[in-house]
Order: sequence, then C-alpha cells, then structure tokens
Amino acid sequence: MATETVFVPSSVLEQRIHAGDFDGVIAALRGMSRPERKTHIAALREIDKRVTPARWSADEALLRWWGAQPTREQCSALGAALFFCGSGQDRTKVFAWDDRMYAFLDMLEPEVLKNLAEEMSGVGAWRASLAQRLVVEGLADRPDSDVYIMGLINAPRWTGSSKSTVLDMIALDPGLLDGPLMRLFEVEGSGDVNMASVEKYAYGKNTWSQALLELTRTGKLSRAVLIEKSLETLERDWPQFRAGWFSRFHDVLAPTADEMAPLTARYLGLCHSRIPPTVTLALASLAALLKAGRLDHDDLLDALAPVMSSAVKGQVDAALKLLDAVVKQEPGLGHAASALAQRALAHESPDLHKKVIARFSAWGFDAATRAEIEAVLPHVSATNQPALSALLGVAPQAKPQPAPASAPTRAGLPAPLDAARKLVPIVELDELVQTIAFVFENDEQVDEFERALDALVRLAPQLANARSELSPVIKRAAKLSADTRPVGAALALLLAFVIDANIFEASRNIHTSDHDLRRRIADLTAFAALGTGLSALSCATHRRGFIDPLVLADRIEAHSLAGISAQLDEQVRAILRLPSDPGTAALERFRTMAQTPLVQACRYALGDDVEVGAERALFLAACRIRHPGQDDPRVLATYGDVGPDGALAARYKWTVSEHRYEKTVSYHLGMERPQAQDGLDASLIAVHRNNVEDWRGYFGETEGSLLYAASVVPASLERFFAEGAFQIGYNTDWWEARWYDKAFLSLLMDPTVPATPHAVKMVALALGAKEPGQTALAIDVFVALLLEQRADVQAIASEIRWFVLGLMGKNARYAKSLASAARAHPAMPAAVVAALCIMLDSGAAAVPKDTGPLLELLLELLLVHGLALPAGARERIARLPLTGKAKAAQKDLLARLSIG
Amino acid sequence: MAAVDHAYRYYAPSQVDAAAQPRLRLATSSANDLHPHFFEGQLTAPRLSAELLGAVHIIVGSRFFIPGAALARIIALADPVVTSGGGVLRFEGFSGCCSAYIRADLLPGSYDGDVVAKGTTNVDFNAPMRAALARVRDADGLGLSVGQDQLRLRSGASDIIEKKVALPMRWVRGMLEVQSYQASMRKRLEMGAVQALRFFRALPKASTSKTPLWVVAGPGGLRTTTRPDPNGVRVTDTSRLRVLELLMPRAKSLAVYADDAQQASAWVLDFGSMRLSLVLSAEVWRGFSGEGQALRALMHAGHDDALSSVRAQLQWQASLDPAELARALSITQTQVEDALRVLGVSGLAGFDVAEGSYFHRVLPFDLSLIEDMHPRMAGARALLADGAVAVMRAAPFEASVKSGDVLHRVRDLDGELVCTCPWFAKYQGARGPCKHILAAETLRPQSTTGS
Repeated sequence: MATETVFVPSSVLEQRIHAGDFDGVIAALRGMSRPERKTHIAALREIDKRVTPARWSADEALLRWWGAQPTREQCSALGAALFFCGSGQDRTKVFAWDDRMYAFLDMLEPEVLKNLAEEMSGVGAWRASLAQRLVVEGLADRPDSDVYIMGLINAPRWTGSSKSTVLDMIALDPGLLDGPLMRLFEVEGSGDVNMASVEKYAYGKNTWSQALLELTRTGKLSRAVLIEKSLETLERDWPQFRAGWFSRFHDVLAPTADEMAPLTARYLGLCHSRIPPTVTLALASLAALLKAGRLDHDDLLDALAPVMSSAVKGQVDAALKLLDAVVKQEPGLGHAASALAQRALAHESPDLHKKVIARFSAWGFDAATRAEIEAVLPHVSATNQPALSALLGVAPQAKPQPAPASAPTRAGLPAPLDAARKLVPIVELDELVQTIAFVFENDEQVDEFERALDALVRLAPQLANARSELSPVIKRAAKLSADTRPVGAALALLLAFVIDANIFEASRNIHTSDHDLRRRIADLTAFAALGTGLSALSCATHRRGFIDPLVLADRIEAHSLAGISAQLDEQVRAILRLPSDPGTAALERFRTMAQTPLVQACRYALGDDVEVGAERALFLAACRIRHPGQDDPRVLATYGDVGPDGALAARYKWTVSEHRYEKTVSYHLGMERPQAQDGLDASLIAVHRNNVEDWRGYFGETEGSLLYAASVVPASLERFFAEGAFQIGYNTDWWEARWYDKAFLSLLMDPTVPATPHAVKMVALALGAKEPGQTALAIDVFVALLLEQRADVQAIASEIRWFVLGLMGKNARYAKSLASAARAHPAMPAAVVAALCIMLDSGAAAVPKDTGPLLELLLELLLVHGLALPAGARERIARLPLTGKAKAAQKDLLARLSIG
Repeated sequence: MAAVDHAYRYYAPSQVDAAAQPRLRLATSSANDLHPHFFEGQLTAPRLSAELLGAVHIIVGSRFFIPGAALARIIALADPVVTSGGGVLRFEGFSGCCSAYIRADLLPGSYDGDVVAKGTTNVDFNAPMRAALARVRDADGLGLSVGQDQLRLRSGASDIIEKKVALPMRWVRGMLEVQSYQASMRKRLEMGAVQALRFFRALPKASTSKTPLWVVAGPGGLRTTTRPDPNGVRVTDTSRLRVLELLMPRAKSLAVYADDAQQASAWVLDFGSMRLSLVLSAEVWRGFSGEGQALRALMHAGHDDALSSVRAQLQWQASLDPAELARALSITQTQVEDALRVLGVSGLAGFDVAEGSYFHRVLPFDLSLIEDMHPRMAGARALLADGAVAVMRAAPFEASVKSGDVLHRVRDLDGELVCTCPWFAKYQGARGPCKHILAAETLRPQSTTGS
C-alpha cells in the first residue's frame, strides 16, 4: 500500500473509512468476530500512519494518495476502526476520539473494558475525561495510578471545555471524596499538569482552590484534613512553583490558631524548607500561634535557627520580630535570642546587620555568642563594623588605605599586527586536514577558518590527488548545515571544489547565510582553479581578519608576476582588512611598487597623500580604513554619498518607546539603522553591511557568522557594535533566547579591539541585562575595558545614566553587576565609585526609581576600601530628590561621610 | 535507548517512626530477600543528618537538563545507594539528567551505634519519608536503622515492595565514570562558611548552562568570571549548586576540586563528622558518561595481573591506600592506581575526593555489560580485530586507521596523539581519546609512548 500513489480500499471497512461513514464502520465491525477484526489491524495502522499526520500536513504526495485533506468524519471512522480492532496500544493512540464510540463499548472484551479507564489514564492527562466518564458510568474500574490523579488535577481544564465544572464532576462521582481527592496533595504532576500551573491558567472560578473551599463549606470535606494535607505536601519540598499552590491554598483556608495548634510541629518543621514561600507561610503561622499563646518558646527558638541564615531578607526580619515577641514575653531568653540572631550577620545586607546589632544591645549576649560574633565581625558590612566593634569592646578594624592604582596601561597592550597574533600558514597536508576538521566542529574559530581557506587555495594543485588523506573531512563536509555552521559550511564548499570540481554539484546544498561570504568562496574557488600555489589577496594574515600590508604588497607583486589580475571584490576585501595605523614601512613599500589602482587605493587607505583614483569600489573601501567611523570629505567630493559607510560613516539614531499593557509599563529600545540603497554595486562591501537582504540580516544568527562579520573590516567595528547594542539593548529582559549575541561582547575581550562609541553603549546596556551569562560576560568586558584603558569610566557610566537609569530603569541589576565588577581587581572599587557618582548625577532628568541599591553600594565601597567621593559628588547626591528606602540610603550615606 | 533492567526489592518503605524517640528506618534492597542490615544506632546531629539525606533525595529527583519525558520517568525511580564499610556510611545519588552526583558521608563521629555489617545496596527514599524528615528536631534525637535484622524481618511478615526499572545505560555509565573524574581532581579553592554562603547567594538564580563560568579567588573573595582561569574552577549552570546553599550555614568549610582539563568539579562541605560531596559535570546536557577518562586503563586492563591482585584485596575499606597496597602486593604504585581506576569504572570502587582515595563498594546493578558501557573501547577493539590499524611510523608515532570508507590519521603532535575524526576535532582530547587513538596506541611501540 505504501508504494501506491492513490489510496485503493482493500475492504468494505476501508471503503467506509474513506467515505467518512462512521455508522457504516460500526456496522461493519458489528458484523465481524473478534478474530476477524484483528485481521484488519495491520492495514489500519498503515492508513493511520499516513492519514493522521496529513490532518496538518500539506505534503502533496500524501494528499494525492488520500485524495484530499482528511476530514474529521474520515478520522473519526478510522479512529473507531482502530479502537475496536486493535490492541491496548492502538486504543491509546487513537487520535480522533469520537464520543459516539461510548455506545459501542460492548464490542470490547469484558476484561479490556474493565481496565479501559486505567489504559486511557496511561495516555496522559488529556484523555482523563474519557477515563472519568468510564468510571462514572460504571463501565470500568477506577484507576489507582498517578496518571489518573494527574487527570483529576487537570480537571479544571477539561471540565471547562465541556462547559462543566470540577464541582459538577464531583457531584457525578461522589466516590472521589473517599480518597482520590486527597491524592491531589500527593502527586507532584508534570511541568504542564500540576496544581499550580492548572490554576494559573484557569478561567473564572472553576479551580481546585474554589472547589475544595466549597466542599469544606458544605461539610463534604474537613477543613482540618485539608489544612494538614497542605502542610504534608509542603514538607515534601517540591519545586517552588508547584509548592506555591499549596501555600496559597493554606492561606485561602485561613486557619485559625485553634486549627493550627495541633499542627504546631509541622509549622516548626517547615522553617527548614528550602522553598522561600513555604518558610514565609510557616513564619506567619508561628507568629499567629505565638500571639495566641499556643507555642512553646524553646521550640520556636529551635525552629528559627535555619531562618536566621535565610537569603531572604524579609524572612530574617520576620524571624527577628518573632524573637522580639519571645523576649518580651520571657526576658530570660534574651541571650538565647542573641545566639540565634548572630547567624543573620552572615547575610550581606547592611540594613539587616544594623537591626541585629540593635537586638544585641537590647538583649545582651553570653560568652559563647560573643565568640561567634567576633568570628564573623570581619564579614559585617563596613557601615556597621564600628557599631558592632564598640558593642564588643574591641578596637575597630583599621581604616583601609585606597588600593594603589596598579592597573596595566594601554601601552602594554598588543597591536593587531604583533608577531604573536600572526596566523602561521599551513604547509602540511596533515595539518590542513586537522584544521579543517577543527573548523567543522568549532564554527566560531574564524582565525582557523582563514588559515584553512588560505591553505586550500595555495595547496589546491596537490589536493586533487589526496582524496584518501582528505576522506575524513570530505565525509563530514557533506553533513554540515549552513544554518548552524555557516563558517564551516563555507569551508566545506571550497573544499568540495578544490578536491574535485565534479562533486561541486553534489555540494550545492552547502550554502551560507551571508551573501558576501558566499561570493568570497566563489572568488576563491576561481582563484584556486588557476593552480598558482599563491595565496589569495583576501586571506587574513593575523588574528581577527587583519592583513599585514607588507604581506599584501608581496601578494600583489606575486600575482602580477604570475600574470594574474585578482577580481575586484577580492581587492576590496583585502583593502578592508588592512589596519588603520600600520606604520611607515608598509607605506614606503607601496610607494615603490607599480602604481596600479589597487596599490594607489592601499596607499590611500594607509594615509598616504594620493589622489582619489578612478576605481570607486577600491577607494570607498580605502576611506573606511583611512577614517574608521568617520566621514571622508575627499572621497565624498569625488563619489558623493553612496550610502552608509561609503564616504560617509553610518549614523544611528536611538529611541526609547514606552509600552503600556494593563498596569505594566515597559520601555523598548529602538535603533534607526541606515539602509544601503537597493541595487547597490556588490563590490561596495562595507556599505552592504548596512543592507538587510534577508530575515537574518547581514550578521547571521550564529556565533560563527557574527565573528566572521566582525573580521570583514576589522579596523572599523562601529557597524558591528551598533548592531550588538541594538540586539542586546532590545532584548535586555531576554524575551528572546539569542545566545549567539554573546559574540558581540566576547570580541571586546580581545585587547586589540577598540571600544568604539557603540561598543561602549552595548556594554552599558549589557550590564543591566537579565540573562546571567550575558551579564557575567558584560562585567568581564567592563573590567577589561577600564583596566586596559580602552574606555574611560565617564563614557560607560554616562551611557548607563542616559539609557537605562534615565529611561528604562534597571538599578538593582546595575548595582549587582557593578558590585561584582568591584571585586575583580584592586583598582576596580575606585572605578566603580566613579561610575556610580556619574550615574547618580541625574542633572535635569528625573531621578530613577529604586536608587537605594546604588547608594548602598557606593557607601559600602567607600567605607570598605577607604575611598573618597570625587569633588562635588557629595553635593550632587545631597540634592537628589529621593523618597522611601532610597531617601534613607541617601541620608545614611551623607551622615556616614560626614563622620568619616 | 540501551538500558539495564534492575529491580528494587524492599521489605517495607523507608519511614520515620514518629515515636517519642523518632527513628529513621531505611529499607535496603535485595534480590534474594536477605535484605542487608548495615547499621543500628543514634545520630549525634539529627537535624543535620536529615538535611544531608534530604539533599541526596533532592539531587536524585532533579533534572537540570530535560531529556525526553520517558527518560525522566524512568530516572525518577533510581534510588540512592548506601555503602557501609570501614565505619563510614555513605549515601550516593545521581541526578536524572546524569549531570550531578552527590554523596553524604556519615563518619564515625556522626553516630553512636553499631555498624552491623559491610556492603552496598540500594536504599528506599520516598516522599513521605522526606516529609517526615522535615520534622526532625535535634531536641528529640533520631535513631537510624539501615536495614533490619532477620528476626525482625521475619516477624514483620510484610509484603515485598518491588519496583522494576530500566536504568538507561547513560545513567549507569555516568555513575561509574564519575569516580575516575574525582580521582583526577585536585583542590583549587577552600573557604569558610560565611564567605562560601555569600558566594552561593551571589550566584545567578537562573541557569547559566550556555555560558561557562570560572570561579576564582579575587581581592574581595570568590567571584565568577567568563574568562578561563587555570587556577579557577569551571562550572556551568550554577543552579546545580543551590542544594548546598541551605546547608552552608551549618558547615565548617567548603572545598572545591577540579581536574586539570576542567571537565568536572567537586564541591565538598565539611561538617566535621559528616561530609557532603557534590560533583558536577562540565555541561548539564553531557553528564559524566562517555567521558572516557579511564578508557586507556580499561584498554590495558586485560594484560595486567595487577588488576586481579588489587581486586582480591577489596574488603569494604573506607580508604584504599595505593602505596600500602603496592607494598603488600609487591607491585608498583602506578599499577595499583591503574587497577583502582579500572575498578572504579567497573563499579567496584568509589572515590572520596576529600580523602583523596578510593573506597570499596560494589554498585548494586548488573555490571556484566561493562564493555557495552564503553562504546569507544568496544569500537577500538573492533578496529583492532578488523586489522584496520596500520602503524606508519614509530617515532614520531603515526598510524592510519581505516574506519568504513574513511582513512583517519593518528599522529603524535608535541607529545599528544591527535586524530582527524570529528570527535577529536570537537573535543580536542578533553573528553578522553577517540576510538581511533585508543586502537592506534595499543599498537604503539612502548619505547615511543609519550608521558
């Protein structure tokens, strides 16, 4: 059947299925014995395998075979035939269940029918309504499995879709009250089907919370039992989201102190939970029990020990208040309370330290606690150490001296053409195979890619007879996907041609997402075909895509001697890879060569005083190297404005737009990108970087494609970083998982990469981004830029202030990122203090919300590292019109600085 | 997916007897109804002990990387393993995704009682028991029974609880290979409880599985960076460490270990009389299986009498001293170390990274398929059997290995063997040798073998 082009029914049953005749199928099945029905199953399975996917598929061959898109009636008829002819596995796989089948369940064997509910439960929670109906109608036994319970957990969804409710379901099946409902508290469920997720996405009041509450009101379920079951579930420490339903349900039940009292041991035990909302519930309940005089003080103190070490500041605070109440009721427990409270000093919050120290003063402490406090004293916040030292009667720690400014200087950084950055040409076949294999598996290794390209072109004459040696990479090349490995796929394309032009056709599926890379491979292919043994002009000689001008001069002369005239695009690519400031030796060399347009353009690129020549593409490329990120008036005068990054540097306009949804306001970053003209000469490669030709854009969507794009004009990366700033800035809340964007940041870890204005903007945005891996990388880049003096703190902090604090607000994230940066190097605390002072200088702009964390960090850094505020900063901070916690932090900061 | 069929047979579920003096009764598994009885006594730090066992339970039930739903269901049934030997009770567990291994060691100071017997078996951890552990208080004390005596077993006359599971080969292989990983680790970082607690709290709450971080010691304490640091410890998805955070305030110190290739890390909390070790794989999606750290030792094990000699010395020791064994057996310490490595990946020894030594235990799974558990080794043997390996040059070593219609080249490059296959190209030897290198170096003349 599978080979037929058109479906031809081989039986009456199949005819009726194709006709969508449900009743006819049932009639046919009625007329068969059980063994007769079994003879049809193999054919039915084959039909099902093709027809069911065709419900959604537009596969033309399938549609031609069946005649049209399968109809609902056809699928129902097929489902009925499978259900009554097949095995248990077939029954569970029936996709198109039709309620009309209920009427014919007597066709199943009695034993099969008895277990049908269990069988259907095993399919998953989505078949739960069927299982439940079988149980209610007494046709099948009630299943005992967790999956059946998951079906019940999911009941608000499937009862809702049939305009019924959970309470209706229970009214129809009172047996649920005898046990199954209690198992709702025992089965954790799956990621999709659990009490929390079902309730979160429920419509209206058809929820388990409301249903169980109603059952307690009508006396069908005991409140005491439900309260205890909730606590029992919370003791199991399920993941926070899933456990959350049970703590909320406990709150919905709102138990009285009398109801909670018998469960005191459970509430005490829940203080040990790793789930913060569970601990919050326990603390609130214990507070109520304490107030009602239903709690033993010693038991409470014992239970509060882990809470004192909690990461949640609010919980530590709540526990301290419970201790207040205990000591108030039983003053003799003051020392015991202090012994517990000292654990909170491990928390990093200065505010909490202050509160704990106040308690020590009020309650006193014994010798053992004193020893514990002294041990933890060095870890207490600098703002609170003096007070605690005074309380202990020990000398305060010596005021730290500012760390010496020992940061490395810019002078020690490598230049793009340093010898250590040279790409060593491959000379041996073994090494070439090894390198190609490496690039195939590591797409982001664009330097190795350049080495392999160069070697494939140079060694092309020898490779045609080396198929055996190249067999490992030939086999792998055919399997590479250009979607995920565009760089490796481009290399595979060149390899395919070089070893045997005949397999080029077979390799057509190897394509790259980037037009210029594809064009470059075509050019290299043509050059390799000449079999000169020479390097192509555009192959990089140094890391990041740079070409040493002296080597380029050698190549130009060698090509000339061999009588080869490189293609124009190859000449343009070579110019675009020159460094902007290579020194005078290269210039001298070009001056002594035959003055071809290419040589003239190279001289222009390197800053020589030559006329803008007649070859437009070459000089437009040269002006990008001569004036990276800036306009070139001479080329502009000759060729006019051909588009962004032609004679005129690309310009970008940034906007922040406000979006309101219900009560939520969010801000989106926008960048108005310049566009290259349609139909532009493809040789204007730098201009084309601004041409978004397909949905992926110029840069692609892999680390490899991004890093290759950065190597096209390595001396002028502003276009690259502008794109990075936009992509990262637009996605600071990580609404789209763009893992490859880290390539924008990681490039800045290379000390030869300058921090262009848009690179600085990008880092400023990334420091406040949500995805922790991206933020960690941004912190490293921030530290490297400052320590290596590639950017100054004023530039980065000003960007943060304008972009984020002024408009979008991510203060807590910035406080965390900057605190982390301050720990990276002895010179960083001072840099972070300077950054904070710039960020807090709001000027005329409105002061952002939640400035408190920034002020707290500033104070802590000043005190811990013995730093002073820059001139005028104190006054500017004093003028900030703050409220709430930020106001308190401001007041604290100013007061401490006055003392200092 | 390849799997090992396994049946847990318990005489009763593990439970906490909620009497005036609570007792944790851990049920042991046995194929023959002779359920091992390892321990009877009192725990000296009930609450902490309960929390450590809770941590094992959390890891056993965790998936930091989500494989297929079916796998998740199967793995959820993988119960922890208890080992009694040398006065130490060890509870080992492995996460469902195979990326986190945990072991709680109860040292002699942590209990007051009798180690009745030595051995290894599965132990039942269930949700009600976990819930009951939440109510354990130091003031009430806590008794511990690991297994039951035969008299009590008979008088109980309870129905055997049997759970049949198909443990994925990947899971079993990871459980074996994590031992050899630990054996190659050294201590990189050590810090006090407060410093460690603050470090844990500063870690991202969300998964960082896509961005490796290096934990390094800086001027302001521990911090993370994306810059590789030879003195740091590489870790991905720091959410795997959160199980330690709650225990940190009770610990004396934290020590972090890592191997030189930064393929895994071990985080050890020291509580004095107890220890908790958490070992993390390089990536959450990778697990420990297939890492091939011990492949070379396994390849050569067949030719080595030392292995059987060392194996004969195993008597449930809590610590196996290679120097002492070498003296006793009159063989070299290197031979003993190789033998222990093989025994580790064979399920006959675990490694205690804090002690820096192997301990004897026999994983209670069917390990007769060990060869199948190392596909690269099996592949290498097949290549050798087919005569696919040809040595082209002795020094520097070079060989060709025919694999299907592809001719791979294995050669010595600066003292390391490299291969042209995609596996080597991708991992550059960090995940052990490929099958071509394994096969080729078997034929390498001894005198040319690198360090």
